[in-house]
Amino acid sequence: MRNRFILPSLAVCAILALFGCVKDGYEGPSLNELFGEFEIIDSLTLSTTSPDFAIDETVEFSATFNKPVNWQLEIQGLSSGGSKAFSGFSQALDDGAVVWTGTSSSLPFFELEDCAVALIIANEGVLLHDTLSITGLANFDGIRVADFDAGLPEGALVWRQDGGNMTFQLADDNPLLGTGYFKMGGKVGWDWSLGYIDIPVDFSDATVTASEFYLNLGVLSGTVGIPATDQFLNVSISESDAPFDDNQANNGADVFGAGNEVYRHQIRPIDWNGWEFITVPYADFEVKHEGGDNIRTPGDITAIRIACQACPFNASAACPENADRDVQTDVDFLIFTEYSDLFGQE
Amino acid sequence: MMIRPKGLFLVSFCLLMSLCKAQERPTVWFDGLSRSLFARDAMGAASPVDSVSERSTSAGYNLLDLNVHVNPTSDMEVMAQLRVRNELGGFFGTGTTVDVRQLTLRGTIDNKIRYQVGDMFLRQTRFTLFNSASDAEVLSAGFQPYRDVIDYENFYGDNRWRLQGLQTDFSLQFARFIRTLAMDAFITRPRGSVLTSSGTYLSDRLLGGASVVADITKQWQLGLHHVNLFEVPNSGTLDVAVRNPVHCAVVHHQQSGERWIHETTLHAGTSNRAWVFAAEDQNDLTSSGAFWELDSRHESRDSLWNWNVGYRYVEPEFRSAAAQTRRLDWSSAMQPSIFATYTNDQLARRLSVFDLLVDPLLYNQALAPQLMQFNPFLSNVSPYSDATPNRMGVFGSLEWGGMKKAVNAALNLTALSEVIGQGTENRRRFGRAECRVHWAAPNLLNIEKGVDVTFHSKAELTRRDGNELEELDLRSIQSSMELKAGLSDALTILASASNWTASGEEFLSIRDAYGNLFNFEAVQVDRSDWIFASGLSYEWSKHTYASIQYQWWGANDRDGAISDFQYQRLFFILTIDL
Repeated sequence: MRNRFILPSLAVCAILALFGCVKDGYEGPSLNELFGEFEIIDSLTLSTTSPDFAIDETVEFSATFNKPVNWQLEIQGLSSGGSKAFSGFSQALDDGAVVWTGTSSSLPFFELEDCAVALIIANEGVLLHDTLSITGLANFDGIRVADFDAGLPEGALVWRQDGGNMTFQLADDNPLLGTGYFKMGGKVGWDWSLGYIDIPVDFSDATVTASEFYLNLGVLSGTVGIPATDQFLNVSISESDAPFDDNQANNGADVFGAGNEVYRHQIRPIDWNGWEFITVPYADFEVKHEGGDNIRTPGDITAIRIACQACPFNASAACPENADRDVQTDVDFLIFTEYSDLFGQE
Repeated sequence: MMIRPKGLFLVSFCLLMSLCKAQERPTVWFDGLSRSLFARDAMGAASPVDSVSERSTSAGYNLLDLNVHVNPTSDMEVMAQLRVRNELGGFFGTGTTVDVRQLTLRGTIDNKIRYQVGDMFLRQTRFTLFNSASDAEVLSAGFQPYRDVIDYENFYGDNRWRLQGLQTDFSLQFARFIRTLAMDAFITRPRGSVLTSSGTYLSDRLLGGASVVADITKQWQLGLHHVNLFEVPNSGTLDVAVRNPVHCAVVHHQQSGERWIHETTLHAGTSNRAWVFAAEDQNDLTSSGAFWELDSRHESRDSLWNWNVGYRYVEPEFRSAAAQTRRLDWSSAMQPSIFATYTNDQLARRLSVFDLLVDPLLYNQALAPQLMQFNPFLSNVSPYSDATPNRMGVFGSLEWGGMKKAVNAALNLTALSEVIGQGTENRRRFGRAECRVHWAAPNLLNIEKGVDVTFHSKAELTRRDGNELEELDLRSIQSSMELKAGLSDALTILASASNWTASGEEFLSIRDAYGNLFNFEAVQVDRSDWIFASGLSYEWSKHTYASIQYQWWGANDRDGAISDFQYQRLFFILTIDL
């Protein structure tokens, strides 16, 4: 009985052993290459050193090494302080893998200025330098709704309370980008709402989904004193196909009222000093009014409201200090982008 | 108070079904578990100077898991586990949560086909669907209360994964050719569609499988197993979906002699993992692998001796998500829940073995199609358990239970090597020796109820020859000893000491999102973690006990690059099995 069992088992083992051999070669990159001596085959080169991004010129960076390395490419504006960074793990920067279109990775944006370029290979202690000069500013991809450089957007409505030190006007003393921005602030003790700006839009060309559609907005605070407690922006987006402002008797546009399909996102709190740039996917907006199908559809957007709000020092016991503080939630450069937010663009 | 009405649909469905058939009076019965846990942590005297962090902290909770079983008919049961949890210091509803933790409907159809819907716990073979113990849990003498909490909170029981879906099984008996045929099939959803922070929706991830096991004769058994982890592309917005079918055949032979029982098991199978892209111009990424294992086990009739020897071969490309998913995923950002920073520089404290033994929140419950990262300090020989890819070699064990069962000693030995080198043609060689001795001394030291001594040690060796860039030598040894002295039938005094030490170098594999190995990270290991504990335990039954312990624990980095740390903990737990 035992032999009857052992012999077939041995036969099975022998057959399986044939398929259980070691394999030639190796898995992954060569250790000798990865951790061996580093060499630069082709040093850092730029396709142009005076790009005019305004006419859609780009800068292509290239370099070649003898082995794959972790690299980081940084571009620093010598006047604005703007920066753009690329990083990767590869043996070469080539074939259009690293192309700069003039955007930045964070605030501030680049100006017409000289820039320092650095290619850093930290693990090898290598730093390659170059310089370039921006001769034209970037055209950001996206749907630009308001930059306030040539006044308010066409058809925009502005409403504000009769409070103290109310702004809600165009200004040019401290724009985020370009020449103008829109001030929203003041002091209102009896109501959370200080005022808003309503802008009609036509996004019918947008085809992406809500998760790939980003609102980008610069917000300025804290330059007129300590930011008011719990000051924030209420951004409403309407997909209503009703007329924008038929009823002249109410405050602002009609399409944000009850019964219209409206979505909302709060930028709250706004407690910083200076400009911050806010990006949020449309999918993150919550339903404010159930006037439609409750499906956020970028192509159906017809109007945007940016409302300035803050804790009222008379109507709420939570913020008596706001009696001595002006609300400031100034805005600039409202642009919608597809697939990535503004800083995600190359 | 926060109420999460999970699975209301399922409850409604279950109740509707029960009402439809409930001609007889339904039976309702309860069981469950209650636990009170308190821990007070404090910096040790030898901790580095730290005037920024708090010197001590305490936390705890009380919870009740009430299992409500409803039998609308004799062949149907609805079970809902309701959890009421109150954090220490929470009063009048503050810090109190009420949660539905489990919902299951199970029953039989015509007393022939069993089924269950909802939460279920599934396991197949070690190569297809298996929840292997974590590196840290393997060696945890003296830490059974913590281990109970970790296993219970993460639904780790009997090496099963907790999944949600539908499962059914039945068996047939035959008069000729084969004796019985058992069949089992399931479809579950380990992950629903999820909105990520980048604004994209991840697809539904499903796990389906089936098993057919036939008892051909009293000696021979044949099993065929299949699992497939796959994603439904149109349930998300990503343009890629994974498919990971795994097939496994098991041949089992058992033979009983006068003095020995012999069992031989052969596992063999294949896997295929493909990332399927929606774009027509993008080629799918596919890898296929195979494995086999022959294991011969022998047990003496008197159960005095038990030994086995076997051979295992797992190809580098073998991928089985449901068997290779780890309980501890070191590629995720795991942080200690106590004293997360230390020293006046507020350094981020790395996880010590103590953290891994006591914190259930560090553990993973989600199946992943990629190989998770592991920590060579804890385990380097088989980080994905027996399904670890790129391993071949022999294993064996010898166990002896003598002196009227008072002594149980076991020795496990494993000698493996890589099937293909990583980054070099030179292949790693692995060795592991594990020894466990338990001695229940009845009259030692004149203690009336006797003394239990448990010693457990595991040593691992990883070596690779080659030039100075390729050469590897990583050694680790983990030891644990526990003494338990019975002061009465239920009251026990205990003391334990544990130490984890590793030194050497290793290269961690860095893989992309599709599992392709594209880089290595060189790591130097030279550290030691230790835990001492003493306390009292009162045990009404195996799952109903109270334990109070004082524990001293810390870690030393021998090269001094990272500051050492040392802490203490007072720990109390009361667990009642209802």
